[in-house]
Amino acid sequence: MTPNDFLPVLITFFVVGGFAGITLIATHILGPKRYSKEKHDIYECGLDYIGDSRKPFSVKFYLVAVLFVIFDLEVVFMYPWAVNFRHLGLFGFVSMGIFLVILTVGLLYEWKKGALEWE
Amino acid sequence: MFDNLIAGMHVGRILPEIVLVGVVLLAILTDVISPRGKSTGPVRLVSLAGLIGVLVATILKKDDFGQAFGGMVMIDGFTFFFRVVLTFITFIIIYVSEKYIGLAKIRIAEYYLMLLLALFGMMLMVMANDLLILFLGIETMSICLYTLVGMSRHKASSNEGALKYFLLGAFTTGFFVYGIALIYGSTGSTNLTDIMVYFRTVNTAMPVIAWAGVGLILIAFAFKTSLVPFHWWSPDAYEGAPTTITAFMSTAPKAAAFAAFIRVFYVGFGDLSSGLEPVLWWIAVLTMTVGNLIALRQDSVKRMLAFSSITHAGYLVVALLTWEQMGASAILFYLVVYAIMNIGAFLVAIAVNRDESDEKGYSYEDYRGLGFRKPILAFAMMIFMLSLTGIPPTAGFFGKYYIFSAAVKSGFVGLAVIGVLNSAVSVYYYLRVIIMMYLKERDEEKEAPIFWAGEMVSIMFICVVLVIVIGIKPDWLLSIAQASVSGLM
Repeated sequence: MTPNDFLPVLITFFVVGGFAGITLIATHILGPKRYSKEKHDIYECGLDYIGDSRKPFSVKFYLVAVLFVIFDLEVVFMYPWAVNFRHLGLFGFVSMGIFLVILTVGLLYEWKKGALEWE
Repeated sequence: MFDNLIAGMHVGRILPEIVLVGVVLLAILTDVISPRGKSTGPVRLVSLAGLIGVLVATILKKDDFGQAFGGMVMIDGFTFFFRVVLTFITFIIIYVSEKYIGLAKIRIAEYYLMLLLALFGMMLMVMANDLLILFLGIETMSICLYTLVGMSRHKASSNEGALKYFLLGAFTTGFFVYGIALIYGSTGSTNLTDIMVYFRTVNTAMPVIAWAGVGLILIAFAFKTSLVPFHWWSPDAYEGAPTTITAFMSTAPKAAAFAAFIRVFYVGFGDLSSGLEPVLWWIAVLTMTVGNLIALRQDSVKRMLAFSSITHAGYLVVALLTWEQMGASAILFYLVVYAIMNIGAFLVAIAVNRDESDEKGYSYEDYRGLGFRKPILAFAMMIFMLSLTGIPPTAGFFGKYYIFSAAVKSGFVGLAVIGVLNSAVSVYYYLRVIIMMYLKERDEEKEAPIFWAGEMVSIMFICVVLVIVIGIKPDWLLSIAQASVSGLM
């Protein structure tokens, strides 16, 4: 490969950047400007906000988020596997079995360490 | 349709790694079923037994060499050598830790689990024949190390070291991945063998992006092996980490990083050696000198050993620069010798240290008059310090001798001279410990009790014996190292 092969990538780069830039500038110039209190609120749909967003909050939320990501990804892998189950045969079954065993040990660990208890 | 695929995978060739993953899962389950707060003992036993299993699996498979997983990993004598060395180091660290982690108030089973997982990452690194597998291995190892460094949560220095290491390490990961992307963009492959073939054919007209990729990967390796000017994380991480972890980090991950360094630059980038030479030359000179000069000024033995570990990485780059089997085998020899003497020195430092909860600690003052107080312990420390300096008849002497003779034979006389001069400078701070132990009067009012643990004493004893035995008869280890690198080029 030579650098010339990357010309399409470069063109895409400029098209994407150009689109974003032109859209921003165009809406800034062309869009109507009517300012009001509602317009400057955080939620423009009309909901009143409560307090400041920069508040410390419990680390438990992060734990739940991390757990969610792990088991979310598990499903991401399992769905295509299930669709092609016949095709993959024993090889696929054993591979997925190993994957699930590893994840299950992780789940047991979290459970025992109290990551699933809220209080 | 997958029969061919499975047959071509040679799953049996990574048996040691499969066993290791099984051990990790077993250790986690042991932690789960043990009563809360009392799980470290059982987890440690499971880990030790499991590591023996990994060793057995490694030895069982010692004739089944070749590629596996479609060329993603390469199992050869080189892999075998590092599998054994890394498993041994991890075994020793887990073996000596039980009493120390109580002292350092980190008695949690994750300490052992992270060490095992770090070992898995390192095993991936030493067998990776593909930049992506190497990336996976480096990340698995690094994430475990970040947490291990920050394990002493109540200590500010531990948190500081872990955060610095994590932020810089994550940044370096970016360099590494970008390097892989550029290499892939120019060569069309992430496989080291394919990359070598590409560079051999287009050697005259290398595109700039390929050079940029090589440079970025070099930076990532320089960071992982703490070479100047990418070394700033290591003293803080080494100082903040629990001392057993410092001993681990300065030996096993460094050995694994150098193993991957050798494989990538000898196999993948082997034909670029003339272009990389000036860069590595300067890195070697700077690493040796800067590490030494800062080590001179330290008041803490732990920090001194951290900076001197930078210097030792510089010596290894000198050998790497030769781009020959002789240099590579000298690196392997040195890594083993360095692991033995460094683990020994850190164990003595743990025993002598005054107060583990102290943020700084590990002062030279703790060694005052140790030669009269605890003659055997002081003798062991003296052997380790002499070996780190490179004075015969210790193993460290032959480690340096092989490196510098390889450099001279490859025409790097200037570099060898700078290396020897740096060794002479290092005499100052290594001998300072010995002077403290033997030439200073005892100060009984200030003396702190020695921290004794049976397993630490036995490992210290083995280290002293090995340092002296290798120092008197180094040929066998060298011939093992030579046999291990012979298949590489």
